[in-house]
Amino acid sequence: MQVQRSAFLQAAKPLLQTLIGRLSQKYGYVSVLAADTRSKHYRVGNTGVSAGEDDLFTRRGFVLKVYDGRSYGEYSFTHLDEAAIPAIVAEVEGRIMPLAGKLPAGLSLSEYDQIPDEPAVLLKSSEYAVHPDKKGDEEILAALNAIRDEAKGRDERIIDCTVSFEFQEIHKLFLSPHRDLEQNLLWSAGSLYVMCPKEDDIVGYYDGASDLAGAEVLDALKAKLDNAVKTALELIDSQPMVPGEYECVCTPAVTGMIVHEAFGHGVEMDMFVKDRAQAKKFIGQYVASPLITMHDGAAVQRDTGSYFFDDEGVLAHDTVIIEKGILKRGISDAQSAMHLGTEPTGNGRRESFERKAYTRMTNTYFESGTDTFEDMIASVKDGFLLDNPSSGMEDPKNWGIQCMVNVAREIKDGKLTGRIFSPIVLTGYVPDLLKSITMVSKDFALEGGGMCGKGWKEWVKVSDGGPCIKARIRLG
Amino acid sequence: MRDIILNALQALDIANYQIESTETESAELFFIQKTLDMRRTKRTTGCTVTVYRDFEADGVKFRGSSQTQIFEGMTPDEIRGRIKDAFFAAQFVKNPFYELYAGKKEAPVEMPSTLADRSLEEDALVMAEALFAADTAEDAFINSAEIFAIKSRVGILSSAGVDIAYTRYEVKGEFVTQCKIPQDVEQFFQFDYADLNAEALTAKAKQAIAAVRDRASAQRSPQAGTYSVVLSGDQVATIMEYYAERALAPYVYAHYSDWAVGKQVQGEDVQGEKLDLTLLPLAPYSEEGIPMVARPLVKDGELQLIYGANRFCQYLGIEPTGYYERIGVNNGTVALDDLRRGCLCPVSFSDFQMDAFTGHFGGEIRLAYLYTEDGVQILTGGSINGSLPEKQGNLVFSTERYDTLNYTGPFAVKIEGVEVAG
Repeated sequence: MQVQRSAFLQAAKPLLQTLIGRLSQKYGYVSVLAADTRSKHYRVGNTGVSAGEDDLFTRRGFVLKVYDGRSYGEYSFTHLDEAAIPAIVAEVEGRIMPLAGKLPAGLSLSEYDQIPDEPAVLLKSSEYAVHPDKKGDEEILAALNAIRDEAKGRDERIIDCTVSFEFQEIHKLFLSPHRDLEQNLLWSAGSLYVMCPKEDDIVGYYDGASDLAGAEVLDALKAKLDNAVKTALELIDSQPMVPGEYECVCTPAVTGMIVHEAFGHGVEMDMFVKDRAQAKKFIGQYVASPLITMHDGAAVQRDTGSYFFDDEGVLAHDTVIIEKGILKRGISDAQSAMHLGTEPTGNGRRESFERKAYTRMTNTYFESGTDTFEDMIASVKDGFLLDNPSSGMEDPKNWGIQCMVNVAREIKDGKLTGRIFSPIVLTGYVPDLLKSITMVSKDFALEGGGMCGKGWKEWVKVSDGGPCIKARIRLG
Repeated sequence: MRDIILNALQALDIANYQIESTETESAELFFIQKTLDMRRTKRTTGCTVTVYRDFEADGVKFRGSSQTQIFEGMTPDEIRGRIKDAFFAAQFVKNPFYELYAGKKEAPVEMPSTLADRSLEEDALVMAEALFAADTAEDAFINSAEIFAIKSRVGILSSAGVDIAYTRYEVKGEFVTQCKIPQDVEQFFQFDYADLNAEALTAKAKQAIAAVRDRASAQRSPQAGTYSVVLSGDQVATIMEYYAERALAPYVYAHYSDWAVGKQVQGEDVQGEKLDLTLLPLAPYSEEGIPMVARPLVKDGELQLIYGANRFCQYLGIEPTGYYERIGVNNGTVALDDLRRGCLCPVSFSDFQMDAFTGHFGGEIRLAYLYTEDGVQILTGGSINGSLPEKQGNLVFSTERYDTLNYTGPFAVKIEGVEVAG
């Protein structure tokens, strides 16, 4: 089934075209992104049951982008009808664009060329098997409760298992004098978190499932339960990590965190513009093992970071960032690409129509290799299998790693010993870690359950992952 | 929009509801060094409608709820459809019965703010001038900045009599400082004020530029080992969130926290300062229209309050308070210069985190000062990792103060015996 079009956007389109026409009489470039998104979440746990539309992902409104011959300004708004058009024009002409002339002494204006408004028309929708609306509130909550009840029934030490499911139906329309793009998408994601007491603390194991799809994701979530329960119970006896540098095998989830947090943020080219990313100086150089090829692209994989065009009306790409260990290029939004004299890669994304566009990742991953997971474990004399990433923070300027994982399983003489350590902080220098990769598995998995921020805000859905990798990593 | 929603609720025979409307205006400036890269304004309106549905199962009374978002441009039929869908979903949300918070009509509140004296774009420009006033050196400077001046008008109307409205202003943002010599480094800072606090922003930017200059000269990581650590600024606020989160009614109700009023939250053997914490309101009313006032949280190390949303407070049989986002810490006995003697003082992390479930805190060090008898060493790298439940008996706070939108209290806290990975 294909995601249906938005009646709201269809009704708004003639008015938006009128608005663009009116502003184009004065400004060299005018575009509008119109968004109509609806998200619903479901959650069961000890705190009770919740079901409802999510206010972060449920939005309806417009953002205008205008070029005055030197620079760009934007206006985000929700009120649109025939009578509102003069007020919108007045806001742009009388309030936003004149701000450039009111800057305090010592501050000036960044000057840009005009965005090339290449003609394009597109209408695309993603597909799904079962729409969550069709499955219905009762059935979805029953599925979540069944997972939760099964988890709690496995062991009396489990104090809670929160289980959640959410989906977002996205309708976007990008209009400019020469572009008319429309996309309709549906992603779904589920998660479960099994919690057990450990003395005065609570330990837990989180897992999730996601796809550019519908309620079929619930089946994938259920399949994660066994491992989540087993590991949460093991964490009761976990020990603190002895700091040091170890041979580590990373699961695809931990690989994904390294790809995304440690390296991906560093090749967002708006950070190149600001001189905030070390990667800018390493284009064409080895930054990783020759075993590593890294991609980012909304067009290349099917998960929560997928779309057909970005929030600046640039079509989605498959960008090869690292090819056999050599850094080839970064990813960029339209304005950053213009500043750097490069081509935009379809990575200009907004948290919503209410926010500025930044360079953002989409689906980011390492390509699979040729090794088996079993061979990788067997090759480790003294190290750990790292699993279950919990958080990470980017450091594009210095390529410092700060990632946290929840589970480190000890490996001695090629065998898992059964000892488990938690929590673990990964630190070090990104290229050192990536160059130390000596094995890459045949496996491949993406995870798109989480959110990605730019610094501390601007939340968007992304996915990341890849194969298992073996590397030397400093753990603390 | 409110009338259309009320008509839909009446037509659907929905007796219990809450309507929260939010109108937001903002002016936003984005700088790369001293050039304006993007300017934006925003004007949006929206409503969150929560509907409640009562039902019984096996002789037990339940009250389910569900939310829907209502926007400008929706037709009356569409609004009615959205509310109807939410009311349908509410019958499957099987939560034990509770009464809605009962309020009354109150006069609208205009929260006093000097930001209201000018237009939002003028506020943003004043703060831009204040920020870059500190940017006067060649070697260390502001790399980039974002400034948001925001006016929000919130209204809450419920079927239980709540009818309140308030207007609040805020100017917030972030900036990055950079120093290129002897090594090219940067640091990230945030600010958030309820007034046009230009002087505070200039002072913060000056300190930030000095800090990044120090970081550029830092060569070594701290040696791995156990240190007395002094955390400062926003990290103190993060540490204190542990106590605020552990006292949340939903955590207690769900058995994620075993805290109860009267508990000695630092344990029985407190060698350092006994905590004195107060929850402070950021708005006159909670999201359910509950009046927000300053409330003691911990006094002499003893928990005074379990707090949170109406539903969980009712389940626990305590007074509903709403959620608080600002914490006041009334401790502080030692001057900062004395407090940090012999201590490792990380002042900047790539990401400092506190896990309220476990009490573990830590992060990778961007900049730290090690105060020894031989002088001060400037360090970078390594990470700290500690457990607050294990260390909280020995907390000592500075007499110097620090204020942000979500924290007011001592600038620094000393924690003994923290593991540092070099």
